[in-house]
This record gives sequence, structure tokens and C-alpha cells, in this order.
Amino acid sequence: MIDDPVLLNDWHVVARASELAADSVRPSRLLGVDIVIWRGGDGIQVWDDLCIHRGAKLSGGRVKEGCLTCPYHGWTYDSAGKCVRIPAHPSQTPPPRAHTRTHPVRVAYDLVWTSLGTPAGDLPPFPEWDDPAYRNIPCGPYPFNALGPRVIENFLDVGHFPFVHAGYLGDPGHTEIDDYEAEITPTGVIARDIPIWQPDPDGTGQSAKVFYTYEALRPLTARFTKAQGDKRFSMIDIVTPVDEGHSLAWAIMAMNYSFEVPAEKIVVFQDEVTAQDLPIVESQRPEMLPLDLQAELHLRSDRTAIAYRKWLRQLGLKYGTS
Amino acid sequence: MSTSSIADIVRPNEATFSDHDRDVLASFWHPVAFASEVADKPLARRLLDVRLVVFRGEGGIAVARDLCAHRGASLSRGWMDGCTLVCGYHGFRYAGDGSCSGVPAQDPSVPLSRKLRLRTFPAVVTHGLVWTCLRPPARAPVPEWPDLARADRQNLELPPSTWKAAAPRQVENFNDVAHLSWVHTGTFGNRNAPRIDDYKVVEQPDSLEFSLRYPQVDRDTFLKRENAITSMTYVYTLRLPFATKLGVTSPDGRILDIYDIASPETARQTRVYMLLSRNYDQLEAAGPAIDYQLHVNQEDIPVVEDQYPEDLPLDLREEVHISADRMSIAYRRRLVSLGLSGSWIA
Repeated sequence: MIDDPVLLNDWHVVARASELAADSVRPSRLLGVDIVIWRGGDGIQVWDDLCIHRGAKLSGGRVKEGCLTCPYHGWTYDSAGKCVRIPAHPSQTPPPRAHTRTHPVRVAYDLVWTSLGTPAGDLPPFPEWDDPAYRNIPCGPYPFNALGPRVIENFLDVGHFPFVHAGYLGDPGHTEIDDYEAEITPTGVIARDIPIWQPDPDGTGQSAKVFYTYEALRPLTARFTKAQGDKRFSMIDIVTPVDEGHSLAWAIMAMNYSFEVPAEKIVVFQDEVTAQDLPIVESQRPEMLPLDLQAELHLRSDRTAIAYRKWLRQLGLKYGTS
Repeated sequence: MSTSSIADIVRPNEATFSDHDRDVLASFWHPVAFASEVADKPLARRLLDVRLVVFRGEGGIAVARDLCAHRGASLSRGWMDGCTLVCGYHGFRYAGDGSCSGVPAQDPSVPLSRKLRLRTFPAVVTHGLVWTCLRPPARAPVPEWPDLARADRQNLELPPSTWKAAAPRQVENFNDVAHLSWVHTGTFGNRNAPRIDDYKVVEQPDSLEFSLRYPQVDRDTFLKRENAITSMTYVYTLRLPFATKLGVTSPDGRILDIYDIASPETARQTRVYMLLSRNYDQLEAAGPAIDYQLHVNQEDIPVVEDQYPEDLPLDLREEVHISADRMSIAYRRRLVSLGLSGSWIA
């Protein structure tokens, strides 16, 4: 287990709820801990993927009558994680220690959230999800061989658009970033109305200046809203810290325009953008985001990154930072 | 008893055992190959983190550290010239006793340094297996298993396989009965008979024994009946630390003995040698019986490779035990009494 109290006591996404069929079970990994996710009659459960008897992975087992059965000796656990049946000794009451380590579960934005600790805060807000003016389009999860803080900082970065996303999000002829402000708030970081010249910001084929507002909502969750007149494009990026070397980025796009464009087409565009980011982010050294601002060189246009690093330092984040 | 550690022959970045536990295990015989595998090429093997070369010298099969004394090349990359092992780097020649018999780059009249020899280990060939002991004298002899020499038996060797699991996890699983009705439902396991009656573990100086009956489902070769249920007698004899004989007897006198010998390549990787010995079907092809046992193993492998923690917890408080686990409890206690600490990773 990764020893980082900030992340251990935070919520993390481990699955898309609609992809968990009734009686399904699957393995996953969070903060270096193998977990099992399953759905029975009492809803979705997230536990350590470990049978206390002989250490087998419960994710290899089956869901039956609302219980999860270990594949090794058939120990049967109810939805509360209590072993209710040991088939080798059916008349014996399972000992109290025969209990899995369970984790709290919340479902929001069609995502399954869990925590390995005791989360003090709420889930990050994404009000567009329930706003009828918007269409929500999930994408990802995108696996990164990189750590969350690097992934999030890249999400918050506008300076790379003309280089990494030329023709998509940026224009190599418009590389200059106008000045903007970024501030640390009680809930995170916000950088408002960053003007960006984009080759085709809304899919109409016309280049235009748009305004990005970025927010870091949690150490590993960020969002932006891109404004062009009345058009709004929002995106939330939620990075799951899988272990010391891996992340999984879950995203939802929300748009109040272009309802006629098929969602698949928009997802393909985002997949391509992420594929452009991936090799860059995975190549970044050190892998740990340096919170000491002297360690890397910063420009005026890096104000969001500077505020993000300062905020992570205030929070005391250890994972993925140095 | 030898007091010297074998830590000096482990490459530092390849140490997975603690020096203490490696030395305890190195005082036992472990198989490193089937004798039938040792032919006209030197074999590369690993045992307890130590890289070994196994080859057929003049005096029989030899086991040595896989390291040429000249420039540290792996001898298993070389070749055999008759009964002489030739290093592939500069052609140094070694006999089965480890002595160097020739250095092609220099005039034969130049005397050879006495340091120029292989570090060899005792090799014993029995039951068709090549056994070695890295830290002699051994604390216990190679298992005797006289049934393998009986005239009414046919012995079949399974192709060895490597499990990404600690040897004690593999051994404990082989001696576990409560999983049969769960993991082996594609072969002989009976899902309708999960209940395990109480049994007694008999403790001998070198081994643990227990027996019970199991209503096995015959889905294949054993009784040539599909899905018939036969109450088999299982007799387990676990020779410490890692060699088990499981005798399976049917009511009509058919005997299938399954020998499972776990050879610890590293603390996380185990080469499993298996022999089947049967008193029936001897005129029939061996293939189906071997394939069937391989299928049984394939049912076990994913579960055992996934067990956590990877090391068998020798502190009984770390996992939960039930009465069906009498054997596993006894096994863990005996591993402790051998002197193993359980903190296997250095």
C-alpha cells in the first residue's frame, strides 16, 4: 500500500458503474492495493482482493445469491464482507476474523468511487452532469505509465497545445500565451479565462480565440471549461493512482452545443488528443513532480502549474511528488 | 553439518532469499533436472538463487556453479565435447569433477592454476531425477519412495514447469484437500462434496502424513467412465521441505501415485517436477494421463500464483485456519522448526 494519507483518505474512481453487470466481479488496483469490485443484490462492493484464509484473490471467484465465493476453497462472503459459509465445514460458524477488508463505495457520474481510508471531503463536483443543457460524453480510462501529478499538470497546461496537439487544440502559428492569473482557493486552484487561439475550437472549421478556465478540484482531479460565445465545453479528468508506476485517467466531456455530432466521433477526437499527450507525459523526468519550484524552470504561462505545485505542497501530498 | 553460508555464490542483484533461509534450504537435496533432460548439451538451472550448470561428465551427471573461473562466463552457454564441458567464451575445458583439463589459448605444457576449477556440488540420480545439495552434508537423505521401483508400476515423467510462486505455497496447495471441490471442477473435483471430514496428521521426523477419502468425479482416463463418482483413498506423505507423494487408490485396486517435488529457483519462482506412477493401463499411451495431470496443474497455477502474501505466512496468526487446514498448520509449524524465518526476501 502506498503510504500517503492525503490520497488514502480521498475518493478514487475504480470502475464505470454501467459496465458492472449484475453478478459481475473484476480485479483492480488502487494505491498499490489489489482490490476486487463486484455487484450483487446489495449493489456494488469494493474490497481488498484477498481471502483471509489462504490469501487467494477473490476476484477469481463468482457471485451467487448476493455473495462472493472464493475460487480456492469456496469461502462465501456476504455483501458486508462477512464470511457466512465455509463449505469444508458447513455446520461450523465462520470465525469472526473471517472477514474481508471492505471499502466505502459511492456512485456518481456513472463512476464507482472508493477510498482505502476515511474520506473527509465529498466527491469532486461536476454540475454539468445533471444540467439538462449539457450532453455528457464519458471517455477513457486512459492508462498512463506515469504518476498522477504529472498527468494532471499536463491536463492543466495550455502551453503545449501548439506543439503536442498541432491542428487539434493548438496552432503552431499562435504559440504565445497571453498573461493570466492563477490562484489557490480554499478548495483548490483556479486559473480563469486564459485566451487561446485554436484552429477549430467548436468543430465548425473556423479558427477562433477561446477562453479556458481551469480548476484543480482534488490532488488528482482537474477540470476546465472552454468558452466561445455561448458555447461551453467542459471536461473533468479524474486520475486514479494505481500504484507507484501507473495511473488511469477517467474523463467526462460535457457540451451545450453540437448535439448532432455522434458521441463516438467526439470520443475518437479525445482518444487522439490523449495519444498525443501519452508519450510526452510518460517521458517526463523526474517521474515525481518536483514541488520545490527551484527544481524546474517556470514561465509566466506556467502560473497554473506553479499554483498547483504550491497547493499540493500545502496539502502535504507525498505520492508522485518530490 | 556445514556452517559456511552459500551467500557468496549468489549474484547480489539476484538474491531473493534471506541468507539465513537460503542456507537452511540449501542443506536439503533438491531436484534440478530429470536425468533424461541431461543429454549432449549443458543445462542452465537455478536453485535457491544460485545459477547452476548441469552436464554429463565422465563419472556421470555433474552439477556445478554456472560460472567459468577464467572470466565469469556462463558455462551453460558452452557445449559438450564428449564428457568435457567447454566454455563458450575462451574454450576452457572442464571435467565432471570440476577440474580444468585444458586452456586452448596457451601451450599445453604451461601448468594450470589450482584455482582454475568449477565449484561443484554433489549430484545424485534417483527416481529419474538429478538431485543436488548446495550446502552439504545434507540434513536428510533424498526421499526413498520404494514404490517407484516396484515391478508392477509404470512411471511417467511430467514435463517440468515453472510456477511464479514460492515453493511452500505450491507444496501447501498440493497437500490441500478443501480446494479440490472448487478449483478442480474441470477435472476430478466434486462440487457437490465440499465438506471435509476431520482427519489426523501423523508427524514423523522427516515427514507429515495424512489420509482421507474423497468422492472423486472421473471425467477422464482413470476409470474410463464419464462423471462417475468414485470414493478414492488419498494418502499424502510430505517429505520436508518440498517433496510430496500422494497415493490415490480406487476401491477396485487401481493405484495412481503422484509425486510432486517443488524445487525453489528463487523465493518467488518454483520449478515443479512431477512423476506419475500407476499399476494399470500400462499398455496404453502415456500421453492422456500426462495431459490430464497437466490440466489439473493448470487449474491450480493461476490461484497459487496470485496468492498474497507471496511467502507462506509462517506466523499462524496471519491467516485464518479451519479444521480442514490441519495439514497446512502442521506444515507451517514444521517449516519453522527447520529453522526457516519466513522473512524470505532479503
